[in-house]
Amino acid sequence: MILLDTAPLVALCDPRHALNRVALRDLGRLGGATLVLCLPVLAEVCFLLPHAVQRQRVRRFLEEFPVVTDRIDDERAMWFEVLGWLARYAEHEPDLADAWLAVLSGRQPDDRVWTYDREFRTIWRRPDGRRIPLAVG
Amino acid sequence: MRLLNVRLDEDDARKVARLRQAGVQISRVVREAIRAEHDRRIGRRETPRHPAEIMAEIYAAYPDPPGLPARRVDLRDRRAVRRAVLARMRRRRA
Repeated sequence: MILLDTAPLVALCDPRHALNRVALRDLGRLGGATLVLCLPVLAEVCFLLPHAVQRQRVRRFLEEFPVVTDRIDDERAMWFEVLGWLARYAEHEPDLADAWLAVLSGRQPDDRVWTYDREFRTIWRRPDGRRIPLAVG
Repeated sequence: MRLLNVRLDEDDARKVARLRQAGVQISRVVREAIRAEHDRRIGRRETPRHPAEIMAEIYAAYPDPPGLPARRVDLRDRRAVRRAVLARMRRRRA
């Protein structure tokens, strides 16, 4: 499965954005893989796409493509893992969505992250210190 | 995208008006009905639609209204994303 970050979803749902073509190309390359959308990412998307019609596109995207929510057995434990990850990388000022995806990636080791955020290549690691596998690029 | 005109009797026209009042998008209802009937009578297409085709349909169904400014946030730069999110939050609270 593919863990979806904010930038691809925003770029897909904003056809005038400079990254739209890249996101469309990458969506095609992913070949219908199931996408996992977590709430921190959806929250960022809603902040970045404030207009009603943009959010209608997001909704329709979620209906048309195989997008599922992240399945977390113990969300309370996840909060503490996420807060621990945020503390570990505090000097780089990560955001909640970065932490959530990194921790989720550690919990679901076969999953890859679809992101355009360069820190996932250069800085962020799973809680166990391993690299985060990326879906594109 | 092609345009399809459908004649409605008075009863169906009233139903359409009520659905619109309830916020239902009639074009979407028609598209879904066509797909469901196609699948039932002819069968599901053997090859799935290309994602770009689906996205083009979404863009056509929900076009930007005139005057909506283009996004200028650099989505590869998480600090720029953060600034945009914070600006939006501040605007909501102001």
